[in-house]
Amino acid sequence: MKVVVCVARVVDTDEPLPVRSGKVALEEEGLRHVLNPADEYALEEGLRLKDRFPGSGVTAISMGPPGSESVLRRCLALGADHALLLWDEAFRGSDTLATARILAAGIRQVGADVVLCGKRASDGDTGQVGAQLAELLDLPAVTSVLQLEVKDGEALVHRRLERGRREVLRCPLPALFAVEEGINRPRYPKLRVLLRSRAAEVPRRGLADLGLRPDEVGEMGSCAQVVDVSPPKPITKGLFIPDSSLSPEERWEQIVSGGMEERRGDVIQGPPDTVAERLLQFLTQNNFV
Amino acid sequence: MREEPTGGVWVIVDHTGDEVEGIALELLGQARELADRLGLSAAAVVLGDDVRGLAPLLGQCGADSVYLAEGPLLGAYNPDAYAPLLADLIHRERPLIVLWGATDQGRDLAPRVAARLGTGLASNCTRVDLSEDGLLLMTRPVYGGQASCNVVCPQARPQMATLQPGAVPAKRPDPSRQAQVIAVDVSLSSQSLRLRLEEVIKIPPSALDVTEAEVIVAGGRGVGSEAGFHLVEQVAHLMGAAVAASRPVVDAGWAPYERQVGLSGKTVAPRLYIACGISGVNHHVVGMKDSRAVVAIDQDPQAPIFQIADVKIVGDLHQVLPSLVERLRRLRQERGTAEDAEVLRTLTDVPAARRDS
Repeated sequence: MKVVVCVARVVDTDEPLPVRSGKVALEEEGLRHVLNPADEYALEEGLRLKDRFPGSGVTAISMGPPGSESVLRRCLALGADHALLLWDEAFRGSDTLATARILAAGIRQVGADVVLCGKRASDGDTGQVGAQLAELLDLPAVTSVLQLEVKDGEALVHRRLERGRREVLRCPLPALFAVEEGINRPRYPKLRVLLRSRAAEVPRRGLADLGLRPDEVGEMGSCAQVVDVSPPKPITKGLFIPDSSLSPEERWEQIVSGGMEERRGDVIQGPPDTVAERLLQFLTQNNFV
Repeated sequence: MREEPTGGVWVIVDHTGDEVEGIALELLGQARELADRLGLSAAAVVLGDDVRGLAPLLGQCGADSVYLAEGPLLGAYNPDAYAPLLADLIHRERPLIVLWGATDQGRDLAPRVAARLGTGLASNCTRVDLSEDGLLLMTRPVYGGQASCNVVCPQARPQMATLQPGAVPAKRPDPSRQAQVIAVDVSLSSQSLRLRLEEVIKIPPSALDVTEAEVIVAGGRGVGSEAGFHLVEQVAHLMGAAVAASRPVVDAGWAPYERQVGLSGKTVAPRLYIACGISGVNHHVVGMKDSRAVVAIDQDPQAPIFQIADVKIVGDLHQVLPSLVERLRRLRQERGTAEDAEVLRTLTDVPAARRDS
């Protein structure tokens, strides 16, 4: 089975970022980049398919600047068999659809029975590329995947829905799956493989190799344009004054947490049965039971 | 000046089959406002099986017209049916703007339709507005919420955005308004559907992740023992609510860590949060303060949890909760549906922590 996992290098959003108003992008200097956390789960799911179906190959593929080699090496260290970087200066500024076009061209060349993606990139957070890639490759696709079971040329997939519902879908292969974070527990690299991955050659393909036109990719091929990036505007609240009866530490915590608005609710007191009855009334009146 | 499409401002409606989801009404209010400012019409698009009954409400909430695409194959969401149908319809009717809910369906469907149409999409927006030159200005969070960015789609049409539920308030329905209903031709064969729905699993609420739950019953130090926490579990079970705990309960091993709410646990914002024996130290409260309604049960009338409670019950939970359990049990017995019977049948007397070990 041929498995392709799409991965991305992202800005590490666990660290505070130098966001300044009016800029279109962050200043690259000093930013830490990591393998997109959601993609680690996608890769792990691919590696599990390889464990289950001997003779399978896992290819990690990424669209991004040369620095993305580091995350592809990380995939090799974790157990991917091949890595492929798709980059050309013409790709710079691609929106999700242009990115999907580039990845689609790469995947067509490599060939895939199963394409795996993470749910979203932690920096751009669009969650669009997977579904768009599936449309461009004309593959059946399931997003928000919580469980993936491949058997006899088809997949049984659990898709996460709101309010705790799950859809179980049957999907023929080849297909694309965008997996949820937490679908599995990603493995650690083996030292031997990790060391080997550091010296591995990561092949690169550009515009001409992929047979793409300059007006399909990059800024020229993108519809959505970021006008500016700014620090998020806080939701304004009334002036908050911490309760003076609290210890300084607790007051400080209240201030830091944005303050708790006091709710003026009714106090119910009395014998347990009366109280329980009043509570039940509140619950039924508000349709909670 | 380029010629803009005149198909108006569209909303793709999320619904359950019988009811329009709140997000769709919020989007309609937004679409109405944008349409008025642009001098265009607002339209709602409904896909489903026998969903004609939803049209009047959509009209009252701001739609001038409702596109209805009905068919048995559209009964459940299937991207293989929905995406080509919507892409065709949008291609034909040429709306200027299409708004979607950032819901399970919208997040899956909108990018697919954008790919088919070759247009831009901004997802998870918190706000949309018109820029000075009349473009849709879409504001969305990036970098894990550390920044927000404004996105436009200058050339391609339609301009599309998915909006987070709750981002814009819904308008009050105006009973005098009516929408023109336009039936959409649906020609679909079941062979074109590659995904097949096998079943829909509903996770029992007590096992539901606390971040997904609509109602949460939580226990704190005041439950006193594993048996005390089990009272909380029983109430949750009978209410169809999820169980949560504050840190002392988790540390004591009465509840698993995944149930912990607070600074070192999860952050929740359910419709109702019932805090039993939780004094309300800040570390817990920051994890639940955005709950829509809060009921607090505690012995100490000075407990800080009461400051943020809508219903404040001063009393011993070991007496109040058994009484409440009895009443809820009776309520279920009286109602007597199959669901009620199942809930009563599965009500256990053994605490969950002990069951697992």
